[in-house]
Amino acid sequence: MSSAEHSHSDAGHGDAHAGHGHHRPSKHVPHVLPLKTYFICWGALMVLTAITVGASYVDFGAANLIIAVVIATIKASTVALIFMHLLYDEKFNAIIIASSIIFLGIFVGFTMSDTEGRGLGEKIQGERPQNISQPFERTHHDQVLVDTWAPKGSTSAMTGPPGVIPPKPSASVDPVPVPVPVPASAAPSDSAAPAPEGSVAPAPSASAAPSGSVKPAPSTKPDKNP
Amino acid sequence: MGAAAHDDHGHDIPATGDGTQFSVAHHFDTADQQFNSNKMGIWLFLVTEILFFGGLFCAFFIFRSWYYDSFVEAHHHLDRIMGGINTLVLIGSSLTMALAVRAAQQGKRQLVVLLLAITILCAFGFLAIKYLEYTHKFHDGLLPGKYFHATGFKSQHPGMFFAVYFMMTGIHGLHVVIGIGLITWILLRAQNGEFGPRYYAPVEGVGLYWHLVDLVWIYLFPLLYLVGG
Repeated sequence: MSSAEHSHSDAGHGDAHAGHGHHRPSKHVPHVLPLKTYFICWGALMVLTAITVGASYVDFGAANLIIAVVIATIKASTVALIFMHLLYDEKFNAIIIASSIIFLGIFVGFTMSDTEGRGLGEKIQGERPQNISQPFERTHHDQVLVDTWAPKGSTSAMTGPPGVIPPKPSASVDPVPVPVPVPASAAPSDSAAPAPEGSVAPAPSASAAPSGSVKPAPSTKPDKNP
Repeated sequence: MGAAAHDDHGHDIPATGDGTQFSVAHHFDTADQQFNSNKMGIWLFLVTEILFFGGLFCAFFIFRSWYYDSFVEAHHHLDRIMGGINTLVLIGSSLTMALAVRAAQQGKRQLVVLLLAITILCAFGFLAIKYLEYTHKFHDGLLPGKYFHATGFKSQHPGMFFAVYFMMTGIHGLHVVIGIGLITWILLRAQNGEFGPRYYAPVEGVGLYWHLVDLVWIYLFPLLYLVGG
């Protein structure tokens, strides 16, 4: 009796196991979207492409970039939600992809806030007198910026290793060289970016550095004085 | 019963024709779970791809900020009509890829093969137009960084723009080439009758990858070709 019960329970367990799934796989039923949905999306993508190309012929100033990115994001959302089935998918997949976009935003956002904000911190240091005994003798305008990105043979290429301030013939010694700010282009202009575009040379007032490749400072040089 | 269960349990049951017979691996409860795990893995891979391209986009924004005038001047040397046509080609290939997944869901084998073949053709078309653009740039000396030797530029660093341009479009092009390989693989398997309404995860996975390649281009095209001042 007891043995019969035992075997019965065994069989019951076996049935439950078979129903568990991997012995007899349940069927995956695909979610088929109507054909119309795909073609509407495709049409929208074509129209948006035409719009973004057309908008590029019109100058909206600073909004150019924003308009292009917004249209691209609408297109990308269409592809992701419909073509990639994200709208009908497990919500977890949407969380995964959203997390990547959030981290991409952190990555690009913080990097840009750094590179755009450089020089703001150095500005304070740049205003310090270089020689404490003669605080009004020189200013940070004497700093030499080296264009390390200049193509070879370019007129803007400077002699000497990057970041080197040419020695002055004058008696005053510079114990603390002014740090060379790496690009801090707040203004949207190449010439406003200190290092990259065009070499910057000592201010006209200063004693002539051993120049040769050194050009006069452009008037549009960013002023570190507030 | 034991023998039958063992047969059901097997991992290597070959697919037969319409894809209705396939195996659910023993660590999955259901076919749905296996399918969803498969797809989640692809999405995780796409996350790494987004972050990978994100580094390049970050470089683009940094150099655009530093060498703004150069970027504006240099981007006029890209042909936005060619780029626009390439965008349409890639969007078209995305549509055929999505429709191929749909056809696989419905078990239409011949249609899957046809749509995947059109997708591959579009990918080759994209590369052909890219080739024309590249050769034109090479001919004009619009080359990256120190190799830049075109004349007549007012700004100082147009080479930086082309460095970013060639790196971003080049790596994107490499993804297109890899995509062609993957779609060919899927096409051959579809022709072999391995997919059907119950099992089409590889078609869906390759489709997701191909859509991501399209997504990256959707951002690359306006940023490189269109955005000027």
